[in-house]
Amino acid sequence: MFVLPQHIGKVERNKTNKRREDRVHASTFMAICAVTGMDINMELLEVKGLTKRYKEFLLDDVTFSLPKGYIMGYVGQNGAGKTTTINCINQICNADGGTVYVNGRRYKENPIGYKEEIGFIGDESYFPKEMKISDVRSVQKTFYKSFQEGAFNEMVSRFQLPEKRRISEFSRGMKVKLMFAVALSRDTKLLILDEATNGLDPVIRSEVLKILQDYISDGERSILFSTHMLEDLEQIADYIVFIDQGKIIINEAKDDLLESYILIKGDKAELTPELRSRLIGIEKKEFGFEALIKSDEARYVPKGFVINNPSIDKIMIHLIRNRMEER
Amino acid sequence: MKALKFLKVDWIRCKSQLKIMILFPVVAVVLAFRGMDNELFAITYMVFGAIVFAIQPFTMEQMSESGFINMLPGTKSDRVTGRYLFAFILILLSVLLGLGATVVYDMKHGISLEPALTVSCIFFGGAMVICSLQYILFYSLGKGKSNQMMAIIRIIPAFIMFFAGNYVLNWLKSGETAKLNWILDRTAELSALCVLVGFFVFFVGISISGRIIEHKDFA
Amino acid sequence: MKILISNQSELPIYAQIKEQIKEQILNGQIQEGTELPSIRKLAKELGVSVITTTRAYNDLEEEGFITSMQGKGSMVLSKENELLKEKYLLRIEDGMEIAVETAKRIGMKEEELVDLLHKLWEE
Repeated sequence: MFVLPQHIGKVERNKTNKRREDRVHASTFMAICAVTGMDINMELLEVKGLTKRYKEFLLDDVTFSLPKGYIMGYVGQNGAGKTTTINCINQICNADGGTVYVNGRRYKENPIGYKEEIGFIGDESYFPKEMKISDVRSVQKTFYKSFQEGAFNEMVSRFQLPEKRRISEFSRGMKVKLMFAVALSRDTKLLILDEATNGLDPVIRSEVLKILQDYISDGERSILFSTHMLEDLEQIADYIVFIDQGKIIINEAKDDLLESYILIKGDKAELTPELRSRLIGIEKKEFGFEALIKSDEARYVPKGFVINNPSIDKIMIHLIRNRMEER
Repeated sequence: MKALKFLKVDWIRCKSQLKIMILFPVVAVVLAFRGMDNELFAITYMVFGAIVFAIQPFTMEQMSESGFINMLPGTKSDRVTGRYLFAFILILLSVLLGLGATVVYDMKHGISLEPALTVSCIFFGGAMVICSLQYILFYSLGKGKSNQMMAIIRIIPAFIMFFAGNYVLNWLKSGETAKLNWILDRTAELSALCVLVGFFVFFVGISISGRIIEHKDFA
Repeated sequence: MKILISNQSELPIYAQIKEQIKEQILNGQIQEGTELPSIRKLAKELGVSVITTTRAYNDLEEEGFITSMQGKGSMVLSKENELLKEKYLLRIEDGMEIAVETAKRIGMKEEELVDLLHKLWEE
């Protein structure tokens, strides 16, 4: 649990070097492709300046991109704008500004192709309440050439979903499983999950994580995974985008994010103004305080403090606390 | 062609309700040929049923389905067109069934087929106009809103058309129609006009409805 | 190959993977020329992110333990390569340093230690 500040400093340096190299590689590759006229697209999902205005909420200039073959965790509090972003990507809602590219294409260029690339799993069952599994199957068959009925049936029986009952009578777990069966039984490039694992039991959740890793394993497909259940993401996410009050606050590779902060605990008496100015989201408790600090400022942490690697949860909590303090 | 796929979705969703629709021809035939002395009642009653059932897809819609229905590959205008086709097919089938039954009855009893054909055309056109206007109304109301209101709205226009139609038919039968002779002499033109107006409003309705939901969320 | 990830470890996950593979190469449990599982397969099996395993492999490559072949995967390099040789030398030195220090602490003479080394070598 304990990490010496020096060690973290070292890792940090290595990391920045590595990232710079990666960038060089990627840009050289892109240049080659540009010269040779190869049509490659490294980004499976690109969101640029997405804006959506509601009376009481503003999704403000949301920008991020997700390369092929990776999993992105889209995190934030309830009401931070996760679902609004996803609805705009899915074209269920109309954005007031900004552009979304799925596999290099905008919706307007090819609405049908755009939607065919996306597999969506929502936070609640999106099936019409009067439908049964047979109805869902026949809708899928009608609309998607790539629909694999065998694969769908296999999942339905593996998940033990009742064919005869109306979907509205299913348990929450069954509804989520059916959404997975629907989304995974055809060719898609981008899987979008909106709080899909909330309320699922741990066994199913770990099953879901496996399914997701399988999905990206050929390196051609990507997943956007919105959640506030961060333990799930802690393991498998490659990138973390953190949205708070409609604005993107963090957009980083998960490993880098986890290394860029450390979590310290110490005596309230030792909270000097100088230290205080560097701490992020100080949480005072009866017997001490807890706060984040940037890893590269670790040298300012006095001896005797407890130093931990933060979880994504902790990073989120302290960043939000920080924002509330600044008000 | 995508519109046909959305028509199929509406069909799948409504098929359990549409089973009740089978009762309509039975009731229509029994009432028209046994109960009342107006054989054209079969046609008007069938069209009444069609208008009521054409609203069915709207009453079933909910916001939460957007993740499924709106994600199906197709544009908003495909979805709207599919919905209008749903109404069109219902109306057409009802008119044809009603007309068919009446024709059989008329031929048996040696009655002229002309009134049945005329009434069919007028009611077909009327139903197309009413359905299109209702659809425009529902699209502007949005999904899942005031289902109760919808339940009322869905019946009123159909009832008005049904009763007004039957009233006019009975009045015509009574023979005090000397002033209207110039119309009654031109039933073919009248029929054609009704059908044309029906289609015109139908296509205008598709276009207006598409525009209404173009910038609507969850629509 | 065996990799066990601990969530309680102070080492980041990529470093745990790297260290464990390195250890197994150095102690011969993974032979030279062995093809390592692909980055994506390893990530799936361990339930960690692809970026994490990528970084572990990149580091191993930089340190001369493995080489990645375009589109093929990664292979454990021969012990003959300079970088790795140096690593081995370092490891021998470390071991010897402990031996020498311990010998000195109990007043063992140099010849005695060398004798011991000879005996061990023969075995």
